[in-house]
Amino acid sequence: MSTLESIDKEEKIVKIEKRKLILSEGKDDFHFFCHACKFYRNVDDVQVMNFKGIDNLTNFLMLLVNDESYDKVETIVIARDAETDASAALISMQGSVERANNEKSANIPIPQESFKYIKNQKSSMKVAFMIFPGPELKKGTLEHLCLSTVEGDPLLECVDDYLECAKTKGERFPRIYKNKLHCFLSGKDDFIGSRIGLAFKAKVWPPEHPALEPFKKIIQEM
Amino acid sequence: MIKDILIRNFKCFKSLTVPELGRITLISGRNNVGKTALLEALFLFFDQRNPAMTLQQYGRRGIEQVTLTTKAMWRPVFRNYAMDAEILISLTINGKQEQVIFRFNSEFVPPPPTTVQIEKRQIPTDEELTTLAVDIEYTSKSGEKIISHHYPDVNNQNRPTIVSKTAPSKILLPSASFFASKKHIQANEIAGQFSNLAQEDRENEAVEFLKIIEPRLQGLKIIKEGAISSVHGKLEDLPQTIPINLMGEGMEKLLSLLVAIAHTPNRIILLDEMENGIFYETEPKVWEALGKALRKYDCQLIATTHSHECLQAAYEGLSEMPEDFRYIRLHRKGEDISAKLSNYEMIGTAIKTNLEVR
Repeated sequence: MSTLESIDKEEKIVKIEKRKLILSEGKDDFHFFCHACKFYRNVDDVQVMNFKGIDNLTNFLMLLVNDESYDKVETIVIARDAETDASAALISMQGSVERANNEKSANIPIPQESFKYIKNQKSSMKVAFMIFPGPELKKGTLEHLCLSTVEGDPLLECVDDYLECAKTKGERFPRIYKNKLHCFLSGKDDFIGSRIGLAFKAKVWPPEHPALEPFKKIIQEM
Repeated sequence: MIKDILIRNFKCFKSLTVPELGRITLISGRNNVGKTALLEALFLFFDQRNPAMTLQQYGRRGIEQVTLTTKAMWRPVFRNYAMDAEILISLTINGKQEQVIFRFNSEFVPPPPTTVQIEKRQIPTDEELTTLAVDIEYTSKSGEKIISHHYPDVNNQNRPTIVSKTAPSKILLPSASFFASKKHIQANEIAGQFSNLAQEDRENEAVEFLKIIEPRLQGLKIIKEGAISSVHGKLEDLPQTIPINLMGEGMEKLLSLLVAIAHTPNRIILLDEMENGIFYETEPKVWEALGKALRKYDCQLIATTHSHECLQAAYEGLSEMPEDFRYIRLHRKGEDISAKLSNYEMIGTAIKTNLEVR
């Protein structure tokens, strides 16, 4: 199965098929990682899996350990958004891995910081956490990272104007970065749609932008 | 209730540990990984006082004829047919460990024939009475060892026999029932068990249970035709009753399951291929009713399945008793088979994320 075939398999029964795994929190980042792997890696050897919400991460890890191909896994990258607190996100991810280790005797290395691989002596496996938008940022999401790659794009002025106008009409935006991102993408070619993954494929987010460097490094070093 | 299992040298299992079984445990895994063999090992433990224990096991696999010699009766259950290693089946039942060892004995001397049998067979005084046997060493929860010998009795047409210096009544094991995947249950057998419910005026429990898959069912009764008794069902739109065995595999299966559960509290039910005969849309309701019956009579179900739908149905049907559910996936790696355990919440995540767990 190629990385892009993982997209087709998203709603079908999935099992471990590759030695390098990215575990994504949701559908949008799942697509984003699939296209990023295709772009950043010369070899099609990464499987992206969607654990559909951070509450499922512990059970998902324990299920992976139960998979008959788990012994062949070399690299696991677990991704999630920092949301309001990157430190809390890190502690939560560490807790999930620790519980899987305790209940399944799994010996999965536990990263102490995001965007950095760790490999312990008990296991030949290496593990990294990606907490978006990036290693130095205390809060935010993958969408924030995407938007940071297009800072200065003149289209953003139109987006800001539009959202300001919408506010005057009574609209409220609890997660305005999402509205901003969707507005921005709707100003691009219509085939891109409003998905960050397809936007990556279409290079709306410049793949060599410095803001994407930590992410790119993790993908390339899997 | 069985909590933990250790099996050594039985059929495909070199050494298999299965921890933390629940009131309801579903077992899955690829073909030929040992799902049925696991149930057979468990049943052999409970059936260890039955002289025909292995013959009936082969019968459930479709083997109808076995030569009545110790080796023919026992070799297939020893791993790689090698009878030099002993079979161990160790169970933690209600918090205490009990085990049975089956060990080949090439120097067994059977008890001398009775006077009547000597007259029948005219055994010469110099005939060699040494034969082959399998010793059955049972260790009770209190640590007491009871050794029995299983052998074909030459004085009784080589029929398998068990002899022991200890009274069999000293071995107190929970009752267990085995439901094979492709074997129909005899009408007489179901009727016999159903009559226990009928005598206690509890037929309605069975009727309500069967209504899950046959809403037209109005009642059940035992009909005797010649020497055969069978359970008949009355459907609302038919004037005559119909034998339950003719109403479909699902009806026969569910009725026999329910009467087994309701017949003896604390019974262990071993069921091969749970999904057979039950339409997928009704499976969650079957699981729900089964779960309630198992709780009510304090019974335990250990069942195998190949089906993702069966697993989903169990998850859906047992939503009110998640702590009672366990899922075991058997893995083969070379010669070793291991058991991977998932609980109810893990299975929920597997279903939500479409992760393969069969």
